[in-house]
Amino acid sequence: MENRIQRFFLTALFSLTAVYGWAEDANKPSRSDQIIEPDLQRRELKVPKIDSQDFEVGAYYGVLSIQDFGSEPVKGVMLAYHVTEDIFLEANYAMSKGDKTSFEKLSGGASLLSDSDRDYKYYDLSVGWNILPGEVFITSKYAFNSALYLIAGVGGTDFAGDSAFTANFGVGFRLLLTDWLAWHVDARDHLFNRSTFGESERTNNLELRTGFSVFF
Amino acid sequence: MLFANAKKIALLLLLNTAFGCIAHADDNYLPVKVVDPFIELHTGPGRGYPIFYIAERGAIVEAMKQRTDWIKVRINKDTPREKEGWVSIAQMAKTLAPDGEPLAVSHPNFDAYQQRHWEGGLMTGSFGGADIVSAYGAYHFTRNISVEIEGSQYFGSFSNGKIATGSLVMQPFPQWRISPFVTLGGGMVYTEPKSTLVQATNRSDGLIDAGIGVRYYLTRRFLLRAQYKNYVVLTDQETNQNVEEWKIGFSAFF
Repeated sequence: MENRIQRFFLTALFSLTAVYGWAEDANKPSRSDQIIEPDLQRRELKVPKIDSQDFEVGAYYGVLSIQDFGSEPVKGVMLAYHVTEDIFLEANYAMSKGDKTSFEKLSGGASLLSDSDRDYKYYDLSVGWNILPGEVFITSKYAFNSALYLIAGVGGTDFAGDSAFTANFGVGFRLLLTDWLAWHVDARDHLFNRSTFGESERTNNLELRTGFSVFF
Repeated sequence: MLFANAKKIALLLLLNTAFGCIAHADDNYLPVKVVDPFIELHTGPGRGYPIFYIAERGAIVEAMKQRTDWIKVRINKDTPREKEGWVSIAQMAKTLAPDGEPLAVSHPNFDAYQQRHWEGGLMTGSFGGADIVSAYGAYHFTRNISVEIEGSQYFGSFSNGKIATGSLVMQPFPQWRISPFVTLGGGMVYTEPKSTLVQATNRSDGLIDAGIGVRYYLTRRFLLRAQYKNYVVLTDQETNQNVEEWKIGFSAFF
């Protein structure tokens, strides 16, 4: 009898604690509730990179005076990297075509070079120096940044069925129409040795050209 | 009618995208705060261009773009006093970025030179008596080790040619302003004998090379470089050909 009473109370007690326990569990705030979520969102600070525009790419057109072979149109492309405000590195590639020499014209038939050998191609790798940077004023309304630069370098020339080491030097003027668009006028001399007429001789190949370039 | 509407909508969308892009680009300019007493706005990206405006302490300026050591900024956007001008990176380095830190400008100096990854330059000299012109690019893995790719053209009395090489370059003392290096590499040479002089056909051969050289950090992003290389051209003939090369040139680093 005693045993039965004991069992009854114990069962009742267990079930009560169990229910209470459940209830307590339900009332307990869940893990995610417990941590106080800060109301403000952390700002993602992304510092944008400043766009640097030290490269310049462009195209030009002009006249190339090929020694003994007349003055002919020349067209080319350029790529420059501005190292400092004073110094830049420039690469050029251009094409032209030699005309007939005076001898060929006078003699009538004789042709010294085949047609494909008259193709004149050169490339230059040069260092430029903005020696006279400044501003150009057009009327009282407009001011454009500009620079007069000296440039010199080395490169190669393909002409008359041969390739020749070529030194170049010159002077140029750059006018910045906007921050990224420039207009150029250049005068260059290309010096190389050529033995088209038998003995090797130094030739001067003067070039006058103009073109546009963009900075990126 | 429907078609006209569709066209109008398309046009509007296009305009919206176009202007949206511009507006977006505008918003992307980095606003910085002036903490020095003032910064000076020049009319152009150069030390000689006149100062035409001054942004005082506390002013917010927007950094638009950089050219060499100058940053173009805009101040007082959408007000009658809106100005755009060029500020030296030395002054910009003292402004505060939105995160409260000093603006991280790329300031090319000797420290930056020692941390450089990319390097490129032009060289000229003598390749076994022939004139040679080269352009190269290098990537620095560590301060000591870099790889280089080089393209050259040479112009000789008997032949012209083109050379392409790849090299591993080791620089034992990167902290020196005048720093020596050793180089080891290989590549190809394409030889074009002069038809007027010798009867031979164009050929290409493999080559290996070893060399020593020196880099001299000049200023800003600029360095001078001089090197000597000894090439062994692996010809089909009975003996391999040995060519000595001297070169000097200018380089820049990024």
